[in-house]
Amino acid sequence: MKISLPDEVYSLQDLKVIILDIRRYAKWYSQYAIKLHVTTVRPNDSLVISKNAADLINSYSSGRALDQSFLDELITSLDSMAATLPRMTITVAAPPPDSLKKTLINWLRQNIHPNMLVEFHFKSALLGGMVVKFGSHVYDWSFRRQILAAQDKFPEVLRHVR
Amino acid sequence: MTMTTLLQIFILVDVFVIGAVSTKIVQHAKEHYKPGKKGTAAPDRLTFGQLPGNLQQSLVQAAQDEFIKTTNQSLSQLKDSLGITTEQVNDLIRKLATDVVQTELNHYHADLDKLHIQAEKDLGNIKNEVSGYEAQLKVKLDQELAVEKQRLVKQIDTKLGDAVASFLLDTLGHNADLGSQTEYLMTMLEEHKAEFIKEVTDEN
Repeated sequence: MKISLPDEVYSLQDLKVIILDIRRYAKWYSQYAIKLHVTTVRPNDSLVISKNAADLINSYSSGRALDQSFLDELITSLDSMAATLPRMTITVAAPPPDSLKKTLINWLRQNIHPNMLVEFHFKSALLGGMVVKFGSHVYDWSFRRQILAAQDKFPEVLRHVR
Repeated sequence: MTMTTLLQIFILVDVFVIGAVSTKIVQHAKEHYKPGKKGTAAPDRLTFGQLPGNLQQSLVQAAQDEFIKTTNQSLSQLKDSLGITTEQVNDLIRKLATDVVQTELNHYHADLDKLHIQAEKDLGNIKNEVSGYEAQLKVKLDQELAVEKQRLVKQIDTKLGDAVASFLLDTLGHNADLGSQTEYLMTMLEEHKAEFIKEVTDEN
């Protein structure tokens, strides 16, 4: 069963939070199943998990009965994803707004990998543009690098100022 | 009283003294050689003409000698007197001259002091005026400099801003919007899409 990560879950950190949430749920579910098994009265305790985790469980189950093995399988798959999914680090000059994050993530998941993980950082020294770290490559498209690369042109531009 | 006046007084005094002495000598001589007086005073006595010739001669000689002696004595006395007078007059003149010079010198010093004070006062006024003018000039200059500095800074800011904008536009390309950079970032990603896909494929 292929897992499709929600748009809100785009970083490794987000994924790990969901895994932790599902683990917690799995543990709770295990205890709940035992209680159901040993008592005649239905236990009324419940566990609240995050919406993302709940959505992921629902989408992954797709009609399958929820049991311990399902949850264990899901956790294993998610662990595997966390270890193997392609991860990209994007550094921009200012804290990226949600709209920008969403645009970039959508593009990456549509064009590069459907479950692409992205980490966003910001560094004001970049002045603008972005630095992308992907795999073994670093792509520096920052304004800083471009300005520094063209620093010899600046005196010439100044000379033409009238 | 000037030196010329004093000298004129001195010469007049000398002339007067010489005149008096000369008159005395002439009177004395006249008295001595007057023959009529002796005859009238003592007609019974011998007149000079009745005296033997050699006696007359000896008397005349004696009178001449006496006259010469007296004249010489008078001249000597006059000379001494003139010497003393000259000395006194010289002293007086020297004293007067010294006094006059001293007085004139005092006046000169007083005038000089007045002039000095006046000059100092004038100089002080000029100095104050110059200082005031300098201060005014300095304030004016500072103001003008500040205005000029402001103008130049503004001009530099504008020109530098234009230059930087031009440089950035030239360097970063027309896709680089310094405000919203989404388009620029998407363009960059699109340009390297193939490389990303290859990277993912290679990892798998």
